[in-house]
This record gives sequence, structure tokens and C-alpha cells, in this order.
Amino acid sequence: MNEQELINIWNEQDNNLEKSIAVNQHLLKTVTMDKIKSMLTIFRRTNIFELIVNFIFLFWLVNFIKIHLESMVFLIASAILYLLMLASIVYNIYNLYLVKSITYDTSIVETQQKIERMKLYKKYSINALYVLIPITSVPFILVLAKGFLNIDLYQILGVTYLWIFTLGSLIIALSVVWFIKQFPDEEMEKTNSFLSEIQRFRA
Amino acid sequence: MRIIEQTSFTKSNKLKQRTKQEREFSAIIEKHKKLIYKIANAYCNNPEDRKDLFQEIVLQLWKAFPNYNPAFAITTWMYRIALNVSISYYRQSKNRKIQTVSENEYILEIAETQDLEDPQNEQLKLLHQFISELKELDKALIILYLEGNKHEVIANILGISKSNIATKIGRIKTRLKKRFENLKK
Repeated sequence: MNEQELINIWNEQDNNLEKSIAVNQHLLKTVTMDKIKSMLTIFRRTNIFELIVNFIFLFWLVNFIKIHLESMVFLIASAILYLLMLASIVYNIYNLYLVKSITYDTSIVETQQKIERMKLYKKYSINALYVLIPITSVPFILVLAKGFLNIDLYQILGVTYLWIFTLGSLIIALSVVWFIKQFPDEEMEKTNSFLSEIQRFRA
Repeated sequence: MRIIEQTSFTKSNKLKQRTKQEREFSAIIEKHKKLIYKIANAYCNNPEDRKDLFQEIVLQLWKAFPNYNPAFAITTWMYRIALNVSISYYRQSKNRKIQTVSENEYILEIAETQDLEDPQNEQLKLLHQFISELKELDKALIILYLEGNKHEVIANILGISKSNIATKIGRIKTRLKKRFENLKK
């Protein structure tokens, strides 16, 4: 089989298609495009929502820090949460930038690479939660209890209990990670392999 | 009073512009329906999925249509969107349905008139099967090649160098030919 034969076989479908496919013009016109819910739209909305929540919590934290400047425990606890919020905001803004830069009318390799990277970052951020939970769980309950209920859990529970609480959350986080690793994430593997495929394709 | 008149004038202008755009878009889809169908066909074996994919491509084309730059060929723009959507669709859950239209209505209507007993059609079926075995980006490349696009155009659509295109096409062609030859044996 030569090259021209391949092209001829491919072009053969043109004759049949002209007769057998029709575009439903009525439906084409009545479709309301504003309702399109693409993966990117949902991802963008989630990020905007997270960004708003993070900003609100960040401003609340600034206020909390101002009030508790003299208490070292609450200052450290709120500073940890402040850094976490800042990192989340940077991550949300970066995601929104990525979404904005993805347009289907750019080159295929470029678009697909961005989409796959976005999926990969999302997975990384979920995995990062397993490290962040043990680090932030104690600061979180301390700051929230003090800020909303005016209860000083540091005084009530004591340092030993809070250490036990941290160790407990560490064990829970490790257990969750172990459990997840028992079921390899197919989507993550596919994303990684597709990114490698794009790299090879570009080479 | 003047403000109300101005607002209604702007609204009517926008409506006229949208109607004109819709008409232009419908004509483009009608003219290039085969191009979209062939791409959807190469990425989806299941007829229902194929219709869904066709729909998704048309919707994304419409979404991007106001930003289409006439300095570039309409087919280049269509290929980029259709292939990008197909690759993304192909990689997403098969359960995903477009929520804009009812389940029983499709923009694409297909009359099953193709004679599959025809030997040429049998070869076409095999070619589709062999193409479906290729990797996603290789699939896009061979479709563009079989559609008769020049290497320069393919390089522009895919976003890789022209020299790279020639090498890759050579490899895929050899693979396809081998598959046909093996069948003959």
C-alpha cells in the first residue's frame, strides 16, 4: 500500500458523508451558549470561591493578630494560618491565570500541556493537605476557639494534650496517605504519562 | 428620553450583530461539517459519544467565534479547536454529557446509509481502526496529514517544528502500511 492509497481511502468517506450527515440548523441556533459548563468553567468558579473565602479569612486573621499581639501562642498559631492563607491565595491566583491563558484556538500541544499541568497541580495540592493537616490542626482549633468563642484552649487543654492532638492528626494524615497509596490514582498516572507524551511529541 | 432611545438602539444593534454572527456561524458549520465529523469519528468509536463530541466541538467553536481572526484560514482555526476539544473529551470521563441540549436531540443528524459491504468502506473501517490505535497527538497529526494539509499548516496547528512533522508523519505512515500488509498476509 502506498501513500496515495492511504489518502484515497481516507477521502473516500467524503462522498458518503456529504449525503449521510446533516446539521440540525434549528437546534444549532437555539442552543444557549451561556449555559456551557466546561471543566474549565467549573475549575475557575471553584478557584474564585476559594479565593474569596481565603481573603475573608485572611482579613479576619489580620484583625485577630492585632488583638492578640501580646500572646506568643496565639501570635504563632495565627501566623502559621496566615502563611497558609497567603500560599492558598497565590495558588488560586496562579490557577486563575492558567485558566485564562487556556484558549482552544492556540496550538494543540500548548493547550493540552496547560490543561494537563493544571490537573497535575490540583492533585499536588490535594496531596499537600496530608502534610498541612497535622501542621495546621492545632493552630486552627486554637485560633477559632479564641476568635469565635473566646475560649483559650491552650490554657484549658494544656501543652501535653495539644501535642497528643498534633500526633493524632499526624497519624490520621499518614493513614489517609497510606490508604490512598493502596489505590494508585489512575487519573494522575494518565496525566503524567500524557505530559511525557507531549514532551516526546515536541522532541 | 434620549437615554432610553440610545439604549434601545444599542440593544437592537447588538441583536442584529448576533443574528449576523449566528448566520455566518451556521454557514461555516454546514460547509465544514465533514471536517468536524471526521475528527469526532477518529476520536470516538461509539456513535452516541461521537454525536456528543460533535456537539461539544460546535459549542466550543461558537464560543470562540467572536474572537476568530480572519487573518488566519478558517479551517486552521477549526482544526485547532476541534482537535483540542477531541483530545480533552477523549481524556475525560465518558459519562460526561453536555447540559445545554436535551438528551435526544443532536446538532448532528446521521443517516446510516453507508454501505459497509463495499470493499473500499472495509478498508476505511480498517484505517479508522488503525488510527484509533495511535496515541492522541499522533492521531491528530495523521488526520491533518490525510486531510491534505501542508507540513507548515500542520506545524502551526499542532505547535511543533516543520522538520519534526515530516519525521513523525513518516513513522506513522510506515506503521499504518505495516498494519495493512500484515492483514493481507
